[in-house]
Amino acid sequence: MKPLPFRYMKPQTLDEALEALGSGEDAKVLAGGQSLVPLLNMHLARPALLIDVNALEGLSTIEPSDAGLRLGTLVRHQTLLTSSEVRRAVPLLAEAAALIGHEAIRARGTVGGSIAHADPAAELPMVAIAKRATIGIRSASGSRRVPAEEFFIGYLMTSLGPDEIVEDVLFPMAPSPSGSAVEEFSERHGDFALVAVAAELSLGEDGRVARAGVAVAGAGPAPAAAREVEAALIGQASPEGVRATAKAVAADIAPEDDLHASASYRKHLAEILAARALERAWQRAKAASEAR
Amino acid sequence: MDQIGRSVRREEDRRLTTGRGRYVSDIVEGNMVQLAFVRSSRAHARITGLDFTKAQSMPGVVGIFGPKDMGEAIKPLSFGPPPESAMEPTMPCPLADGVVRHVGEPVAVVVADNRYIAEAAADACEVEYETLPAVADVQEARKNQVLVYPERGTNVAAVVTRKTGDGEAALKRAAHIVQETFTIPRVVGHPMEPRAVVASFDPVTGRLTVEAATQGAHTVKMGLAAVLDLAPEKIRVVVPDVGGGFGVKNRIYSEDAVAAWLAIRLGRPVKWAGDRLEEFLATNQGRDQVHTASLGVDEEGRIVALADHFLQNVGAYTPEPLIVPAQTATCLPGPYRLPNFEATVEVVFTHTPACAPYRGAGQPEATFVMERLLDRAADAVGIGRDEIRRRNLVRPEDMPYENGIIGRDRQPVTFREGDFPGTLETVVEALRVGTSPDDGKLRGTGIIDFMEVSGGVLFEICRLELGRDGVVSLFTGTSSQGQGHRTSWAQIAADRLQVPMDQVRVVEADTDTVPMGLGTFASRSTITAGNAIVQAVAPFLDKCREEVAALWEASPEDVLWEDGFFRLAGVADRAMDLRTLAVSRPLDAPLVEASAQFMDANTSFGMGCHGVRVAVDPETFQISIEDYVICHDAGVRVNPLLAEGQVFGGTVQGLGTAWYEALRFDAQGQPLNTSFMDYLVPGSAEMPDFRLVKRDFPSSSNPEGLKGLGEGGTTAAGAAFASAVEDALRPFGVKITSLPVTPASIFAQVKGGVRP
Repeated sequence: MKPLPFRYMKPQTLDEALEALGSGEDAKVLAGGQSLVPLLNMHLARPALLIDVNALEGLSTIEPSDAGLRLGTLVRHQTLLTSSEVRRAVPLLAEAAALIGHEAIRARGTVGGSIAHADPAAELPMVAIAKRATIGIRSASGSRRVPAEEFFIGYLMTSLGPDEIVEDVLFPMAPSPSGSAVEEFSERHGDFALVAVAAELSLGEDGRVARAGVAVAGAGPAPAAAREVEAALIGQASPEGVRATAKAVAADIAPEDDLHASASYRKHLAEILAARALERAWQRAKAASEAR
Repeated sequence: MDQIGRSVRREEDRRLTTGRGRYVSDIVEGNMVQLAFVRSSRAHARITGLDFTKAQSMPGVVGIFGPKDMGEAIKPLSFGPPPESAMEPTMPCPLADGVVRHVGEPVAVVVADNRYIAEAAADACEVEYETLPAVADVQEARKNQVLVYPERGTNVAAVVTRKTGDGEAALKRAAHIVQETFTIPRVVGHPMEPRAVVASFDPVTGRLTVEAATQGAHTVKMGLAAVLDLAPEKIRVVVPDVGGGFGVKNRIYSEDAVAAWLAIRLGRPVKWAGDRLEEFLATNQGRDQVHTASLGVDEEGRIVALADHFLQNVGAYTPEPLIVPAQTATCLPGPYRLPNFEATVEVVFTHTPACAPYRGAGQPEATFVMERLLDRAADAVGIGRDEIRRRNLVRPEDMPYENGIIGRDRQPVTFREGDFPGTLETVVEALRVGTSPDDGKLRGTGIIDFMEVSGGVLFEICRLELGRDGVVSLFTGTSSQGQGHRTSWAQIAADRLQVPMDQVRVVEADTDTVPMGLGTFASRSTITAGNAIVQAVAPFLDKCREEVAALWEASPEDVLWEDGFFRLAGVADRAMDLRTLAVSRPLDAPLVEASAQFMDANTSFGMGCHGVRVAVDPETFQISIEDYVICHDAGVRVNPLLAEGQVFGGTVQGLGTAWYEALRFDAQGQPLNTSFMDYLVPGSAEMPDFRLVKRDFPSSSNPEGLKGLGEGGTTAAGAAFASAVEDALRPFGVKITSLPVTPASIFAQVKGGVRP
């Protein structure tokens, strides 16, 4: 389980990295290495060139603004747990980050790495969908922003081009009062989720749900927005009502049978976890509303 | 000072926990080359071509070798000294000789400057296969539609039976008969350290030195001598630190033979350090049985008869073909009074890696079947699951109790000591059944009995030697893989020699130091080496007495041994300890040494009981263990701390089989989950704080009263966990008949079922 030979470079500037990435060579970007290095070791990834971006400056920033919370691509998962800015601006991120692997993994793994790797069961892509985040993408020829829902297109597949790099992720701020929660089912502590659900609710002046973002991980080739659930949530005004919308989640996901679980078990879990996440998000939104 | 019975920390603890262990992987020798194997990607195929052209030209590649290059050395490996040879082993060749019979079988070997280059070159080797039909599932293989060895005409390698009383026929006399089909899946042993070997050849002496991560130094030595046609005295096998074995490191493997052959051929030290994937593909695996079993009981729940027909998947090669199935058959009756019993096992070849002894070696399978049946019978009779056990356990007044079966020591299985019902009560009382939090979870308990069979497998030798500095060196053929033998053997010797522990130096598993040794497996080492150590002390002290007598110019009969001192009879101020003796001897005095060989003719039986309480989420079926109580008769505990570690570690490993582990194969024999991403083992976060309650009964089967305890935890955990989860899920009517018990497997049963 040693990687096959590859060329390694550690550029000092983003331009240098982008130039190498656009050179046409079969290249992979190495950030935290928590997914890529095992793939290299198992000969499942066989790049000719590895571009280590860890020396690049200015990519580890956490910037709150009116537009939302902007996370640089090299922000480590562990930082999401410890940063008070993250906790204040997007508490959903802090709660989800606590479920990522173990501390050693969180200390290395990066936001951009998780987003670009796009594991269907990973927490951050799910939160990006629930929050309707946008992904900032750079290449030598320019930059663009892509909504998370258009970014994740299939199993470990994204709309990222071979010459492109994830530069940042922008998580919009929820209109207050709001509340959010993540529920995850994994067989052991620290495992990838069999299924996870992230939910965020904002209440209107009338105390009813005015805005909802719900996403499911582990129940299809890519993390999915639970649109049916989101639609059913609008106007709900009780914990029971909020919970009941979880039934609609089956229409939003398309899991398949695999070694770990049947499609029907994943559907079942998605419904249970959605109900639990929504109820907790509701309670938090309600508490935020009452605190005002 | 008494040393036996003290909880002494292992002498290697600090070294191993601070990264200063010396495992095979850590060995670096000048001019050393490393190996990577080209392994079969097919479960069954004829190899029609090997092309190394591309790989051969890669920089850093020293050579690539196929079976033709190995000439005479391409013959089936010999197991070495077989503990049981009722059936000839079917062993692989060092490199596949034309036909591969499981995914991962070595086809060719790359020698390179380092493992990176070796792996890249192995990746570039081209193997041409003619794919043949394969079969991995034991029930499919039993149909004989696809044959592993066509020349045999059947996949059934052997049939083993055990019978007492009227056997299966007695079932008709029972008031209640419960019958189930039980499945225990294929699991992988997964020592933390994968297998590894370094071989060096000295052209001056013509000797081969092999450092191997093995459980049996002499086993590897004899195996290498046979395959390489070398005189055994030309081979020295030494075992450095080993990170776990669990039975799967107790044989010679193809990689050992290839590394040794290359060391001679190339005249350079050769290292092969296997990785986790190779551990999944090419190391002995375990379990894989399917049982159809019936238990008959009378109106009061007393056992009338047990009958079991089962299949044992042994894989493609069978280094120890009958040990596991025979042990399952022998252990089915457990610690119970069972007048009529019959078991028949068919041992079946498949296109999978060897399925052979792995911690428990047939006992966990037997315990799962018997204890599940008792749970069922209790429900059928309408009594408690603890009550049915109370009514059937062998009682002190029944002892010595012979259950009518011949055990692995070729003696009638005889329970000579213990208070089995008392042990059960101890656990019943200790298990907290108090009030549960009102959190909506379902709770259940499982309380099961088991019997640990330990020792009863041949002999070990212990040699004691007095050093010039007064340190006593202790040599034996056992091989610690984490058990802490260097500490516990020193305790035993120090106790009897009445010296401080640090005055004993333990040297284990070096074939140059003792003429023969069997190694560490079958929970035999403490019993067999422990008694050998004690028995070497008397002749050793006799030799010392002669030396003291010579110094004092006295007659040896007048030299007494008391409280760690030699004294001259009738002379109050004449006293000398071992250290003083050592330094007082003239330089030309002969070596003081003595040895003893202890033949462990009778197995020891340690009865135990596990009690577990679980909580199950009635929506997701997530399981958590809330309490776990263990009572395990360990006889005389040499080192209670290490004994506890063995019991807890064994239980964790058993919970792996109970809760998480199963290696899956597709219909073509491809293993599907060969990484720790997909094959789950227990994690510390899910493991409970085990509570140990002690009821120990010294063994009557060996002079020192020692018992083994390495396997009981693994033996009991599956049955206990299944029982507790099933109990918790009574509202759903879930029936657990196979392992592992996962939330997904529970969901598969309750889907559409009634929720409470």
